[in-house]
Amino acid sequence: MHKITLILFLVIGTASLSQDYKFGKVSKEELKEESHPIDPDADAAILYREQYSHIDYNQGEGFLLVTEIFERIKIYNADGFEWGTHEVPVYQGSNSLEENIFNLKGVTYSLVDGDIEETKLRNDGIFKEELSKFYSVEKFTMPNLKPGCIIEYRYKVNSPFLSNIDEIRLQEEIPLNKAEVSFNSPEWLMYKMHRKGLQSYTVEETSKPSKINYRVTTGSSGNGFSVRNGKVEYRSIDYQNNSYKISVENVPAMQDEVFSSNIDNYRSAVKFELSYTKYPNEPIETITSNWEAVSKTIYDSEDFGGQLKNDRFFNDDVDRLLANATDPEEKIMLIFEYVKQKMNWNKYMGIYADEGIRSAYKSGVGNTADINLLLVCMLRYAGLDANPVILSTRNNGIPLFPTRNGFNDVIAGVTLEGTTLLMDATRKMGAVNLLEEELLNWNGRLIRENGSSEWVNLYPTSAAEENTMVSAELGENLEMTGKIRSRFTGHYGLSYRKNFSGKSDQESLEALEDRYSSIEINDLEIKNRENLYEPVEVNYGFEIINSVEEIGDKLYFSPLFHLSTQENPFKSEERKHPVDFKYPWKDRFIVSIKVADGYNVESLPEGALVNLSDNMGTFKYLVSNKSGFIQISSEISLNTSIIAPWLYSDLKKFYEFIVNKQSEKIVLSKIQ
Amino acid sequence: MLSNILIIKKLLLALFVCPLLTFSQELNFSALNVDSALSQGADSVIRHEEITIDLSNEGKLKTTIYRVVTVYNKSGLSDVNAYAGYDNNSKVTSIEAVIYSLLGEEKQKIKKRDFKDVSAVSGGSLYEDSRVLYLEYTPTSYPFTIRFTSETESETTAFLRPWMPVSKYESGTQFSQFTVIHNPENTLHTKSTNFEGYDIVKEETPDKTTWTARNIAPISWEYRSKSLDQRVPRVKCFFDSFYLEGVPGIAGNWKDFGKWMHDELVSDTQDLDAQTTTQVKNMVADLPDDEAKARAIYQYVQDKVRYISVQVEIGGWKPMKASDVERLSYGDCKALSNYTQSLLKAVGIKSYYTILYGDTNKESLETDVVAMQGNHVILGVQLGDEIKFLECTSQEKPFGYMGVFTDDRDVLLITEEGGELARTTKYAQDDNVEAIAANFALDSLGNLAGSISRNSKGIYYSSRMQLDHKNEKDLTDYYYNTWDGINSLLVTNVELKNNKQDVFFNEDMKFDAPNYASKINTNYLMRVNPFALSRDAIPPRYSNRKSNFIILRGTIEKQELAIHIPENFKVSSLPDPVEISEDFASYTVSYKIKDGIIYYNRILRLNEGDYPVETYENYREFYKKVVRLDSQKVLIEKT
Repeated sequence: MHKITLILFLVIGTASLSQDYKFGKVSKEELKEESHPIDPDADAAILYREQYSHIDYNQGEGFLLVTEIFERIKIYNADGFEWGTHEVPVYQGSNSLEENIFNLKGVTYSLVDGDIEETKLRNDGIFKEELSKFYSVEKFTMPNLKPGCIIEYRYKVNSPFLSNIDEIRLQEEIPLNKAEVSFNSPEWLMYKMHRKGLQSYTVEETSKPSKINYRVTTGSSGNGFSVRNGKVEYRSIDYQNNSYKISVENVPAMQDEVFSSNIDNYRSAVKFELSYTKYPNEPIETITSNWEAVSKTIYDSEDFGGQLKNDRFFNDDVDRLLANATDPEEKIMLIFEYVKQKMNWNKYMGIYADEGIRSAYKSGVGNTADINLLLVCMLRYAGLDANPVILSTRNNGIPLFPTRNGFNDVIAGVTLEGTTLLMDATRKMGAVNLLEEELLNWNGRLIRENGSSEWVNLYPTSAAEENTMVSAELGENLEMTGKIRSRFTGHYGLSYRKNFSGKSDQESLEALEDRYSSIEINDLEIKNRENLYEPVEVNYGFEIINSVEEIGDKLYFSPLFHLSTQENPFKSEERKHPVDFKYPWKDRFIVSIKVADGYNVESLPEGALVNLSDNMGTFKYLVSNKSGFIQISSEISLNTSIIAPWLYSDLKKFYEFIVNKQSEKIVLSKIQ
Repeated sequence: MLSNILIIKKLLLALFVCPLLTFSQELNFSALNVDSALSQGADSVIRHEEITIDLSNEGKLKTTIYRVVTVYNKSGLSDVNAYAGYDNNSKVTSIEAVIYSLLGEEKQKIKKRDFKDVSAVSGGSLYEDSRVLYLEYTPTSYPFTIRFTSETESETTAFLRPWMPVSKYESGTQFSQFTVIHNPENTLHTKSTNFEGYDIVKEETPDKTTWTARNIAPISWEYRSKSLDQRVPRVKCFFDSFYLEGVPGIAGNWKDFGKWMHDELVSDTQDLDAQTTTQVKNMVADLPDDEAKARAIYQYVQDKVRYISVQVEIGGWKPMKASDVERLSYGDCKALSNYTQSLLKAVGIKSYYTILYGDTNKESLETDVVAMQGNHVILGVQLGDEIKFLECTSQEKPFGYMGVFTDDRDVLLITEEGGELARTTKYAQDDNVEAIAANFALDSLGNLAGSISRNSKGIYYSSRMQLDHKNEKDLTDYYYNTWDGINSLLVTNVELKNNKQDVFFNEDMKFDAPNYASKINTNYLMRVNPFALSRDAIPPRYSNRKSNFIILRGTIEKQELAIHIPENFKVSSLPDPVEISEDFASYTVSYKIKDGIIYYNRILRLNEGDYPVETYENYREFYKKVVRLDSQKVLIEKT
């Protein structure tokens, strides 16, 4: 199979050599192609992507990053038309620094009676939407799209932002046949290239001598505003121009799957990060180079580490709070709960304080950095080993390269007897070591006061647990009724709190009936909704709808009722990306059923014990019958947050087994 | 110098603030003063609302809003509606919000410059020239009270905001007042609905009309109930003439209104050149009749264009020119309907630009409110005495097919002679049929395998036509999710037949369900119907439901199965046949066995209608029975 693919690749590789990748040189062969040769399901394909970025010196403006984009896209059918509309984000900085897009040209090509018809993109297809003060989007939509057509567009973007360069994608949701990326920078600005994804590609690094010409005015005199009698001279500087050339071919389309983390984590891409600057006659200024350096740069910023020096304003409040506290755990809890209660998150995330912790403390409102840096600051004041932990949320993707922009959120970590407790005071329902699911993304970086830093695991190590006891009774009218007591810990508890907080008893009851859809609930009681450090307790009486089947003189029913796993969440036959459960978990049910008078237990399902490979998961099922009571114990545990794609079929079978086992019937027969 | 200006500014500010302060003293801003009948279970309570729309100045609409809301929780925050939209022809002259604590003390004032100013391009649209100023506020505690005031001016008087003293679920209203000020020569027309049972007072003078509502308890969303605006009081206002971005318009009756729309908005955009019209004529020259020609042109448009929404001219009410659509091959609903109309006109087929609400709840134009309405445009084609409606934004809908977005509702046809009301195609119960026929065999290991054929017509067609676009994996995943009651299902050899001419969709496939029957000793227990409704289908239970339930479209779902029993096994008893019949639905199921084959026949019919709230519990019971009957099992015994 592998050989065949290889040959196929080679053949296509050769075929593509005959193509001309210049703007306007679209061939009839390309237009005639009816489906993608490797991925016939594709609605469109990027035939060619070119990105040429270079840093130029402009007198008066300084260095400018110029990015020239050229794309040729084949559209096979109407579903591919969405690739005919493009959006380019354009940023505007605070001090009149702004990006500019210019020289936008676009052409749609299609084959009409054997001839190539060209339609140009005009101004009526170009729009600029100002989203906010800092951010606009230039949008354009190509004219005259038809199935089979090819579009080409190119544009340039000038950007004064040299240290924050968007990732360059080498993989899309459609196949990408060929991409060529080059990145050029003068020796004074050193960039580092980071790679991502599984796709292999070639990178060529070169360095060539180059020259900048500039104009100086000498012998000037004046008051600093105007020049008199100046003499204009032209000078030049020689320098080395460093360049990276990346080329890649035949990159398959990305595919989304259930239970995946951010799909972007798996996308092939490169990113250029400014690592240091070394201007003539100036010392080296390190921007980024490795995780240590990135962490230190962040820490050194006024809006991060600078905030942590800022304490006096809360001293009295904290002194009062801790007046009677003695041991460190108590202090942590008191401060954490105090900050959570006092501070209100304005829904903005960031690693840098927005308001500054002092004014955020005063108003009671701030972004994540305002609130959690305040928390760190107070914990430190109380003598604890507290440090900020910067991280990237699931939505932001895993931080694969050492860049400042890879992180978008900050929480607090306290190291106590060798273990680090994580806290996020922005969420009212969070607890110590219980973070929002959105934050459970690989590792965070803990940064100490002296600038040293290390990784801390964000995934929880203890499982979220459900422990449920059911006592049910089969009545003479064949109705199954009973009582349930459940306890939920960890993220299970958090999810209950989120779903049921602020709900009246009646609303909670309706929500719970809706969740299980097969029971009618009475006497619902939910305990510890507010007490975050105890498991959520849910107790109720129930009647199960349609649980018992009567055939002939026998009764059949599955013993776990609404608690059983009724459906395998993994339906696809194959899997490309890891399965991401976010946290380990364990579901334990103990069911006791009283058999109706006049019936005998005729048969019971057999017990079972199944393990997923490497002790990643276990399913235990025990059934017994003692003096008129049937006892069932079912325990499913998943001991890891992430399961690799090559274990997918095991996982799918594991679930299949569970669904089948739990649906097996108990048979009762009438005593004659 | 500078300080002088500052002082003047401060003085001006003081002058400006004073009257507001005196106004606010009339109301106690404390959240503690709310009647518990209004706040019980509420996310928010509108304490005091005064909305005035002032049309006394010809061609201008001035809207002032004064609204005090007590917010009890996060969901209540959106009830404040602290925003104001603007565009090239309208502006926000003032906007402000003040936050009060639980006890009614002023905590924070948010001025116009602190409102967020963002573009208001709606989802699905590429560009619109509208923007919005909105309040971004992080509450520091609940409950709190907020006072929002705004004043906006617009050159569009065509859309007068309706008054709804209850604008959200779970929100109570203590006091809400709506005032319309107008030139007495310009008669105000109004339509009031759902006033019964509410304390609403109307006061009228020749130039001013005011409605006041008091003490409305919050209402809740309920499953299958009518939309909120059909459940709570509402007033719609309109005049015989209006302005649309400065362009004067005529209403009065639908004929004149339609004539105005035609002349002002549509007629000058139909500008196809001679070459294009000749081309179209040639294209259909050999076709026998108008229907065939119209079909060919619709197909041509579907092949040529794509939907791109750009809302710029006259508030997004003027279609793009037909010649631009010809060149660009894209447009929005107006542009594409108008373009199709131009092509049909070129070959002498009459058609009408048709305005309606596009919405799955069958929202009709209010035929007694002669004013700008609707949010969508389709094209009505006159074929003999019949009008066939075309959805021109779709590249795949069959000719004349509406689906649930545009079916069975009142619409306005814009003709050269003027406006005319019409109704779009209705899909009746007998049209909406989904039928599954399957032939299965159970083997001696409990595996079920065989072939299935599913046929979908009427409204079911619209949820199938997208299947054509799925790749193999997505398609099989779709079936696994549709029939999720079957563990480890495997579907192969899927064949789709999309018959656009007669509008039905057929799906054939091979079906494998390993371990389908559960083993009990040496016997098997088998659910006869693998496609049984799951318990999720049972409507939610309400201890005190308030509203009627509606079934918007009648439907029929049929399942006809044949299951071969393995050799050396027998079925000694089959479930009894059942027939249930209610006003709103009926259900029949029957079982037969012959030559080792179980024949299963099941039909579920839902009847269109609006059913009283008292019937809701029956409706739930009906579903409970259906779910139970659908999943009946038979014991297959080893002989």
